[in-house]
Amino acid sequence: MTGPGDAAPPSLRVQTVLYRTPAGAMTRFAEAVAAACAGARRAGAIRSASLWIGDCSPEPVLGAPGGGATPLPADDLVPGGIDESRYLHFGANLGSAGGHNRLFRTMTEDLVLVVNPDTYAAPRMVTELVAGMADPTVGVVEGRQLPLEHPKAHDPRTGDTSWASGSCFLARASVVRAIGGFDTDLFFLHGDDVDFSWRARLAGWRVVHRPTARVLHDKRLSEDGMILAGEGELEHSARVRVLLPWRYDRRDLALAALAALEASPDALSRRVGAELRARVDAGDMPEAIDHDHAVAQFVDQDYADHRFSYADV
Amino acid sequence: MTQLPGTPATPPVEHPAVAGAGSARDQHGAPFLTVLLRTRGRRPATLEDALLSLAAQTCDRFEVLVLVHDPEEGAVAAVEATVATFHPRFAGRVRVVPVEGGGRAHPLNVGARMARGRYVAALDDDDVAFANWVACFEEAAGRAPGRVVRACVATQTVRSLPGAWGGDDGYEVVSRPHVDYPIEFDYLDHLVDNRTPNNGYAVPRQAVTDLGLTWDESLPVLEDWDHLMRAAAALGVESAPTVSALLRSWSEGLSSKTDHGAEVWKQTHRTIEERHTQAPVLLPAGSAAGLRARALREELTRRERDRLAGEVQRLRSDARQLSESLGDAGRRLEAVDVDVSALRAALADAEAQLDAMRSSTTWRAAQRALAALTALRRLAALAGGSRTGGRGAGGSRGGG
Repeated sequence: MTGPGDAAPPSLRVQTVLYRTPAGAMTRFAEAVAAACAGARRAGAIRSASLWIGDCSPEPVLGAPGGGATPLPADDLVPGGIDESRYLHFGANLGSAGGHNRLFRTMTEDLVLVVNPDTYAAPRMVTELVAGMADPTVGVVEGRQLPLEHPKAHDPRTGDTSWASGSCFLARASVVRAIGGFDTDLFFLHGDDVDFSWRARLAGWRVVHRPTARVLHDKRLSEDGMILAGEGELEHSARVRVLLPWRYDRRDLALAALAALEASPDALSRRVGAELRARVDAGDMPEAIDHDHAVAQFVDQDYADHRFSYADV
Repeated sequence: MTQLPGTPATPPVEHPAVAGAGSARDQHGAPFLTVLLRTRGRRPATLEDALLSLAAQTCDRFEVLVLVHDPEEGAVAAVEATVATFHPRFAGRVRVVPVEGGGRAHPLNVGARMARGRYVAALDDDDVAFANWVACFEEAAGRAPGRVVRACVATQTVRSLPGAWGGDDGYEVVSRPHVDYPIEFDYLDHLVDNRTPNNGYAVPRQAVTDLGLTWDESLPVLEDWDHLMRAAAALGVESAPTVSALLRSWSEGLSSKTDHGAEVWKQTHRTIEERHTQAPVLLPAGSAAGLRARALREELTRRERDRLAGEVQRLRSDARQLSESLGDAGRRLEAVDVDVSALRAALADAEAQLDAMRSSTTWRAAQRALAALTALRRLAALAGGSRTGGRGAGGSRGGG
């Protein structure tokens, strides 16, 4: 790719996958991303930007129904930063991982920003993420989420971190192509970003956190200070607790997590446990990689060292 | 209005100046809210966070006044440059205002006078709003126009990282958010301490500008507590039982905690307490039930305390008696111990004598004579029946 310091700044694709996101929220999202791209272009960090929106909703949130690429109707809401915007209604719920992979197919740009639709980019976000790519060994740069910062640790000097959250990360297109995007066989909504990051690291790239690349991720807190999550998120999160260690050759942890699911008082956990037990019995679990445990990190129930836990009392 | 659980909402006294301030109808195109964003221009990193959290609000019926208090040279221009980078839809609703002189409360009063919103709310430059912060206030004001609207605030500890962000002063979050403040407003609780940070409530603007409910500039700190309580007493409070903002607590670095010493905070707390003590208080509807409940709790607590005190007294008395009994028993045991020792010595002496006797010739001869005598007795018994009871008729009690 081309990058900062080269003659021509890199081209950027921004892509998001939505599921029943309100149109008004999509407008705010698009405005913010456009402003961030405009700032990056003024700063000479990128030479062009395209915005690709994939829609997994049963009915199209934007534009006309159908699966073809159509111009974003709200082109006039993204002035100055976006050269081209595309909206694809998939006609099926492919999940976040599957939706992004579908969009990756048409990628011709140097860099791709994978970002959630329930986010609002800070004006300097794109500029800062691209600056994080100045080191050619860096393959993925993660933004800092507000108001609820992700607790995983990073090296304060280099930014190196275990994995990058798919809520907002910038990746080299070459990394996406090299590792084949997200693993949709294993992951639907959660864990896809951890796996993506670890496979990028196995391929020799660094994954770094960039605290100056701010993004507001519209998460809320319950009355007892816990992050509110839907049942779908909890279900996929439970599944990942078994699949991820299995994938990264920690069958001991995977089986312990499976036993915990099966013994859980929570019906949803037991249901996921039964489903995974059937897969184990049928020999339908993923082939293990990272046999030397070079990249995978399992710390309690997390996939990195954490500075604090949202479960702390 | 301040509502205690289970009590019906009662309309507050509506001041003509603020009546309808929270109604859904937009008066003369005024936004619902003016955010008074207070900064000294010394924390550009957190200010950018705060601005981002405002730009991302789900409700955009608000404007922002960035009140740069006693700005150093270049600070206002730097803030203006930051604001200008945002999308025009947000940047166009932000004004940057330098404010000279006064204490912490001064910029808020200046801002309130310049505000166009029907409500005003404060946000400090190290605070972060959740995306529904404005919407929560607006919904509550829609339910109860003209009242103070109050949401819950979570606290989070952060640590300053000077120069860490490529030359910028960064910071690091070191704790999860804690919901330490009550989810709903309770006037009586707030008489004890401030349980609503300044970013947790909004007041009708005209209550500030027309009714004199300004922030008290003589207070070096806790101006929000004083302000909220006066506004609550005059207008009532409508709660939005939602966590809608974060208050940062700095484990290191600049903050109001470090700008003012502990003694200043303590003294100001006493000053405000004294004001509450001196002022006549018109309590909101439902407070009588709350006071009764508290009085009952106190009565029950007092009774329980008395009962426990009696129990302690009784236990002490028992303990004394037990101790005395134990002392007596101890002394007896010592005496018994002495007796046992003497008996053991006597027994040992007797056993020694017995051993000596058994080993003597006389004893062995006597044993043989005794055995012969026993045999003779058995023969006699077999010949003439036994008087001492054998195994025949008549049974036996003694045995042979």
